Amino acid sequence: MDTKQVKSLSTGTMALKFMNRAQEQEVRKKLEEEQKRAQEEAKWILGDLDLDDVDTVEFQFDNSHIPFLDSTFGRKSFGNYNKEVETMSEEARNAERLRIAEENEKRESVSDFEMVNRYHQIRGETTPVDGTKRKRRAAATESPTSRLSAVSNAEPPSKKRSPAAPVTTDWNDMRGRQATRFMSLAPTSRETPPAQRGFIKPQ
Amino acid sequence: MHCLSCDFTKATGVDKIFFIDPKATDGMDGIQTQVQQRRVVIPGDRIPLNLEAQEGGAPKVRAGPGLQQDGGELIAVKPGCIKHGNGNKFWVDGSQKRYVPAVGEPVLGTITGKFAESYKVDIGSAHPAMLPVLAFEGASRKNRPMLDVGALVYCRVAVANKDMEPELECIAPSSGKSGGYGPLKNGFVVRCSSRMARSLLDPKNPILLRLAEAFSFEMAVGLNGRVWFNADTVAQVIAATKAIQACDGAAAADHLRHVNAELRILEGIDM
Repeated sequence: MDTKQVKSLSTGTMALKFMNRAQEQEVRKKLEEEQKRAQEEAKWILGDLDLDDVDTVEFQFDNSHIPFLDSTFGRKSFGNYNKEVETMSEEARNAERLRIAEENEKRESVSDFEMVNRYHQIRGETTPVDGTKRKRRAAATESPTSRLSAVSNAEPPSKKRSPAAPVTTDWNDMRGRQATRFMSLAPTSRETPPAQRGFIKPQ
Repeated sequence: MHCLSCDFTKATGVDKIFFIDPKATDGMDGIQTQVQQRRVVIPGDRIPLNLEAQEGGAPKVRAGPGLQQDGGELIAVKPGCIKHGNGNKFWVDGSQKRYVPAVGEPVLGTITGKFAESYKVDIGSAHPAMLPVLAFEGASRKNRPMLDVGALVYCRVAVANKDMEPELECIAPSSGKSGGYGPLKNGFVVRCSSRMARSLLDPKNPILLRLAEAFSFEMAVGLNGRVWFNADTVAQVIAATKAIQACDGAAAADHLRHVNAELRILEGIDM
């Protein structure tokens, strides 16, 4: 008697509860999203009154005069009356001059990110560099990124893969979470064409 | 224009409110401040902000004492001259005789009480300040500084809230060494306004330079309006203190005249 080839599972098996967990999760997620949306719409917030997003100025208030004074070293000595104090005040003055020079230089120089942005603009590239390539890639993947995947995503894209292709981890994959942890590191089967694989399947 | 605050009229002169003298300096033109013209403000005046361009989205403005935010603008809450420094810094250079403690300011205090773990110090603020016994260089439980009631200490405000008593320390925070702070011996303390004390911090102050031409001395400036002088003879110390008192509140152009007058008296005594 030849056994029947099992091509698909029976409906009885499919009706079992553990076989439908994924579907139940999806339904639950949808319900939760709807609930959250209803809650958010029920709340109301005071909008920004008369504030131009472009023109807001950040104020930082200081109670003391110290940041606005040139020198804050109060012990002074003139005519070598007190040598210790004179050397100390000279050191304080040099430190103060250095600090002000550094401040001026930092203010007048352009930061690296700004430079790169300007070059991007000149060359006509649209993506702005905000100094967080990792964050951008992590946002693009939209996955609960483990640190490993974030590190791997920060590498420059290979020529074969398009830069916008997200590496999604499908948590509903039957292989389980442990197996999908390193999925982003391993080369995908799409990349290597069949002819380059070591093993050629016999026809 | 009638001004209610006597201090304010004495400092600027009623007739000088509308007179802008670009050449007059008051010894405050250091590396940071760029005083092109003197602009007097009274509480309620809005400050036009000519901001320097800054990279990154919103420009950052550092507002100092005497300024508050109203909407997106700064308004003055103290009378004085509005000053502008590099890096979008604005503050009001006002003068007052009362001291409001702020963190980091060097102050001159007198010890009024001794306790087990601290000294009570009078710095002229609303509350008497506390100076821990261990806040001196090289102090430990076995090695306590021996200070009596009535001793003078030059210290730094470590903690300052408007509701609590301020805490002082006699060490520079970065190095842990005294950094010029500690008890002061001999000499004499003169009271002055806060603006005078701040201008005395400037190493290129013309009053101090003129006095240094005549004799050698040492001093300690407390931003609570107390300045300590010490010199070889009592007459020199008195000349210095009288010069400070005469220049306090006087116009900047008159400072040198007052100092010269005191030095002439000193020369008369030393003859």
